[in-house]
Amino acid sequence: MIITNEILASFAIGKVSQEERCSVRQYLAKHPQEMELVMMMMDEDYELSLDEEKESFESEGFGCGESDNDTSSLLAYSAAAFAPQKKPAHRIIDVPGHADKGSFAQRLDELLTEVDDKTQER
Amino acid sequence: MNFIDNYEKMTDQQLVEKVTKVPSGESANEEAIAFLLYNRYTPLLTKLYRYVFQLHQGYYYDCLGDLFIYLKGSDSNWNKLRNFEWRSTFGTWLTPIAAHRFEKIKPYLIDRIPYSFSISTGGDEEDDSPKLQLPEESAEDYERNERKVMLLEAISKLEDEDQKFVILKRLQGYNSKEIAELLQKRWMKHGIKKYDNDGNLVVPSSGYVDVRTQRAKENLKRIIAN
Repeated sequence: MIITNEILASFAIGKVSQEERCSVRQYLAKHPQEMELVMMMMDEDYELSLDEEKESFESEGFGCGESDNDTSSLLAYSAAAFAPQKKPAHRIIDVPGHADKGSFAQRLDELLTEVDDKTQER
Repeated sequence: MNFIDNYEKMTDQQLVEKVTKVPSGESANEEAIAFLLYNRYTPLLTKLYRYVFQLHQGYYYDCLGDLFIYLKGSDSNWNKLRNFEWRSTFGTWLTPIAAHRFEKIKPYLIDRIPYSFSISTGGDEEDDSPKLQLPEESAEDYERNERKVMLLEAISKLEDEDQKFVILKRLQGYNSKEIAELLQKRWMKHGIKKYDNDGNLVVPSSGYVDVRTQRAKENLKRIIAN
């Protein structure tokens, strides 16, 4: 079975057939780097952010309703996506958060160990 | 950003149908898709952008432009959207697509490698999945990964929304204090008010989050065991 993004998304919300579920399990076990995306798909409150993060987003010019661009210029973003552009070289900013807290893979591994420990405690 | 039409009250499906179900003689309203990407899903897409690009800022609109063109397809037929069966929400479906596209163009944007742009005309997005060439995994690693998948499935089955929330945010790297702040915002978003035994309004604290986390782990253990 080919694992499409639609099947992955359906798996994240638990709306898959048994056959699809088995296939996605095998796929994720072979492609563990995709597990983080599945976790993100489960998060229905993705838009919530810390005040600190929000300030950072806004200072970077993210967000809707901030630009004066009209519709034609909006659509021109798409056409211009691959046009040569002048950009600041590798702007580095401080991202609030989580670089010091390990990767998702580490955190998932730790959680699994904790849950397994609880199983043994039983 | 300004849009010609007022799309705020339209559902995602209605907006997508502006390009996928066009009456004969009319042209597709691409602005509706631009609204989804540049307005409605800004919180999701900025989060995914940060997830992929981490400290590299300034390429967000390049990524959106690429995503727009990708969804449109080389034949301008919007096949990716046509093939979406709405088994999940639009946002859930968009998450892996956007993340994979951002991953794909990241080296071209950051390292300024000339981009040779080509779009698959097929309906499936699998060609864009960034399958890394990983070293051969041992049977132990594979089994451990299978356990992690089971854990993810168990998280999706947590019935207590607060427990699910604190576990997901913990996996995203937030600490208890930060999760408490986010949980408070979640309650406000959904109009949730909780009271303690004395009738006092509960404000989520680190302690509250830690208790929910422990209970979530117990429930995860139970779900996995069944």
